[in-house]
Amino acid sequence: MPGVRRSPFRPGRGVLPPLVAGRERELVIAERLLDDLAAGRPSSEDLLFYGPRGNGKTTLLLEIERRARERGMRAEALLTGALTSVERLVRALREEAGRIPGPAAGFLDAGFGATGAPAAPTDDLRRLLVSWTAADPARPLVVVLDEIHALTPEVGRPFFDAVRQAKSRSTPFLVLTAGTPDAPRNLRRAGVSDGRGFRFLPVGRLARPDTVAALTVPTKKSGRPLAGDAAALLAAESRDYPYFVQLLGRAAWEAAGTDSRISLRAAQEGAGELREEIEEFFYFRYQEAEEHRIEQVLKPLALLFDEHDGHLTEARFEAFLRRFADSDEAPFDAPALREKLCDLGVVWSERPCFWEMGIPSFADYLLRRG
Amino acid sequence: MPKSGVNPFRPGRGVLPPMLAGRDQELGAADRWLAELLHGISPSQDLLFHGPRGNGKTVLLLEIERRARNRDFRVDALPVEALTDRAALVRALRERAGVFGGQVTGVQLAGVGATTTSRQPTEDSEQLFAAWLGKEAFRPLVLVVDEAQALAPEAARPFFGAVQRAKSGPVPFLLVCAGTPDAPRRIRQAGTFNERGFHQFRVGLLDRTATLAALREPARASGRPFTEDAAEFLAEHSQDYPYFIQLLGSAAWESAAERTSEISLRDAKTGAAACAADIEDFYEGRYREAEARRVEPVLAPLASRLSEHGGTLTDSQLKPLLRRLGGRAGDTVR
Repeated sequence: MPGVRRSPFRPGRGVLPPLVAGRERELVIAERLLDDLAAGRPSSEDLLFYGPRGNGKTTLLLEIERRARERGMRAEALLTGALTSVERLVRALREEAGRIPGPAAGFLDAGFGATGAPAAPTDDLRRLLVSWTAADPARPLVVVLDEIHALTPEVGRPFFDAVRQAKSRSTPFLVLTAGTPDAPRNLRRAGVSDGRGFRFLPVGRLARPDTVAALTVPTKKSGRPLAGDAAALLAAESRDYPYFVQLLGRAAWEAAGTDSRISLRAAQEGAGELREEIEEFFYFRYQEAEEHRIEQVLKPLALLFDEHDGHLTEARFEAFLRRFADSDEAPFDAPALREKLCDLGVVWSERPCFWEMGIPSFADYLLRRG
Repeated sequence: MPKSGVNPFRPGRGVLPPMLAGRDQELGAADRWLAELLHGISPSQDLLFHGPRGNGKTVLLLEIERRARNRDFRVDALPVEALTDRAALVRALRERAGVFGGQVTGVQLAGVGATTTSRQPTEDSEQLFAAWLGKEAFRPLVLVVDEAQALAPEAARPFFGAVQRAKSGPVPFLLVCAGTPDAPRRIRQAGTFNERGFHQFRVGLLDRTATLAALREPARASGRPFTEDAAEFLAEHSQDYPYFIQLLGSAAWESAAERTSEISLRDAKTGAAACAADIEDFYEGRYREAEARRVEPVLAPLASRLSEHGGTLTDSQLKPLLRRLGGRAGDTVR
């Protein structure tokens, strides 16, 4: 289209944005682990990125995959479906291992897992992992598991047992995972704990300077800089939530039309045009809460966060849950209510014993809602 | 635009009308998205059109398909049945990927960078989808799913996972979905926050200007224009509902027949009377559907409440009404 430049912003689901801003620490940690693999050393730990949706966990995985491939490594993802049963996981690993020409294919041709005495799941998984990683020893493997919160202990336990065993007797490989705030709990149930060969890294909203960088650097690179006041407005509007940063950036870019820079007016116009879409996004979150029968909790919770500057201590949060669970109409007890709020990403705790809304402006929506 | 002397109006299900009025925003976005494909990039979000039946969602899909073909893109439709059953999905993807007898034939897998040598036919949606894209890696793919409200969330989950992964792959593609107002919810249930993957458009009634244009322009191009009052009458009678616009436009055009060079108010009224039975049948059909789903007792009180509130209800007005009418099954009624 003549005169219309393409927006550099990439709102979406697990799509690599033009700049992965504010995740330097996570990327440095991942780079160190890739260094281990490159040197033929077993990686000292595997990684879990966890946090509410829309904060860029999948983006981090994609960026690390990209960097691994750039170093000549293999980065292969196992789809969430593979995590639903041991049988499916075995099948998925067998397919992955079988795709590589060489020893793995021969190994599979021998009828692994199909002939002779049935092997225990962990043995199956370990042998497949060893076979997969060893199939191309010159190219170390990064195994990527997104949506790891879907993991049940029945699948997770044999899988991570197999990972531990395979690590000690195969070509070095790295397991890279991401999931919603309930992922650490599910990994713990699968026998994986933070600090014991696995590192749990929270992925929350951005710091304000990073939000501004995520908006200004790509626009400048694309030849249509964002005015300082426009960047400040968009950053404030996004509440530093990465998905909104991309949405707002694109909306302002489009509102600027063929202008050579994105002015405050274009930013205001873009943000205004997006308001309905963002309301709808929140409406979906509300619907999810309805489907889990916790919608009655949302507004009082939003009020409480509002009264306490957006943060709750563990004691205050627990007291709220108990008060709610003790009411006659409450369908759940306090622990179940807490679990549901966390699973849906309504609340989360980036720092121990310190709670905030998963998406900061969801509280505003709830307070606006009639 | 239609040939002179031929009735230009096209009432029917998912039939491209002579003029797609009032959908500039949707088509503008589609054009921008298609332009991204031309640059070799998959748009970060796909497109989802949702709204009640008869508002022209399928027509929008057809128009986007036409525009994609004009750019020499590949266009393919995935029947929603493939998203209702895991085996059907694997089958549909295999067919499109060219997996025969357990081989993916000479395909470079997107994001994998290896030619498959698997002896077993893969069931991995991600691999199959990537193989489908890779069949003609230099021609972007526009993939259409209509009636998305009928998808089964669990069965569709691997498909959306595969779509997400392929976004980072080398072959540009765009997924365009359409469905009734329940479609976004079904998509979300196939993976919470899944709807982030879509730029969504509500496809509702036209505004009056667009309704008038949808009547006037095709009639004028066919050599038999409406008089002003005839167009106004039909627009009002159509309630700006796209299906009725085509139905009424067609009936008025036929009423004027060969005898006049323009369609008068009288012709419009004769036409409207002639298709009154069709409109009644249309409503009867909707009522029968409601009966089949056992929600017909709710309809009259709902209509009455809507009428009391000028045709719209807020969520908080609708919810207690449905609870009252549907009892504990209120949410199911919705």
